Amino acid sequence: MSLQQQLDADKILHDLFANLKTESPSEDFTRRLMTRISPEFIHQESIEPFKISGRIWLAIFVSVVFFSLLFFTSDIPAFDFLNKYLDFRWLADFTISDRSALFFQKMVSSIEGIKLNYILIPFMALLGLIGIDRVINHKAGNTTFFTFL
Amino acid sequence: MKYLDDEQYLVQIAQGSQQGFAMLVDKHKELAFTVALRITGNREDAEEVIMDAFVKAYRSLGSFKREAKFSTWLYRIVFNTAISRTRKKSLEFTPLDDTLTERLPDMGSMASVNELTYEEKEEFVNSALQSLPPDDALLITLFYKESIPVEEISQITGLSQSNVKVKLHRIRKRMAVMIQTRISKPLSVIT
Repeated sequence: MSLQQQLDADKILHDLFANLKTESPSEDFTRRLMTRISPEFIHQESIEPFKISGRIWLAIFVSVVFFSLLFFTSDIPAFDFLNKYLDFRWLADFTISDRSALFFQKMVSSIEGIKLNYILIPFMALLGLIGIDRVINHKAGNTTFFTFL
Repeated sequence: MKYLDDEQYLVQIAQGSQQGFAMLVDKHKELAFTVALRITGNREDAEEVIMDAFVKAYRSLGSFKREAKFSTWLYRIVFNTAISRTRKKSLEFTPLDDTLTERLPDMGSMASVNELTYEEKEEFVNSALQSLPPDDALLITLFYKESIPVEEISQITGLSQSNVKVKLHRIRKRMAVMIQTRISKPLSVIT
């Protein structure tokens, strides 16, 4: 196709398409759409009730477990002092079945031997916070506090 | 009806105006519907697609960064929603028959297309669009019917600008052949 042919075809096509009727959705489309999203307008205007989602509960649970492990396994002297009063081996005595008692005993003995250097604690805490942040903001695809990561 | 600039409606929506969003929908629903119709191929699906797309757009208004025009951003959402609806993972253009497109049409006979009546022209364009693959039909509609520049078509479809130009060139050639074929036969024989 020469340039002139292209220009001619271009002109003819413009002319042909100018005759094409504009397609429209049904007449009540806008009304139906607004009915569908109106509750969201109202919802935005009202104060959202306090609600903790499953994702937040998961984050809280992970946080508690994480910081408990950090607390019981750290070698900070103050923690050792508290450890004497907060011995969690009592869990093994209040279990429903032998199997769960065995589980707790194993868990306790495995944790007891671990001692973390307190220098590592800030780094582990940072990793924990990043992990929690990711869990909470997973759906949005971004992080709240650690956008630089 | 004369509409305001999109930005003015966006300000109204940010202030909680439902009317602002309704006006924005009215302003863009026809082209959004055209985009969806070209991809889905039927009116019911197209209407569902644009309904979902407008809801998505409304919910994502907060993330609209104004890097592109609002209309381009909106039509991109419509395009993606339509593609998802038809379970197409990406644009799939049907390869053209090279022997067909290499036959250069006689532009003199093509020019006689102007002698066709309004209805005949409309009928011809509709049947030509139906014979094209959906994505090609969309490209040519956006370019010739809606006069959307290549840059914006590229943003809507996710194709590179050079790719859009190449596709348009090939579709233009194919359309030229179709026009020539049509002109050389009486309309009553073809329809």
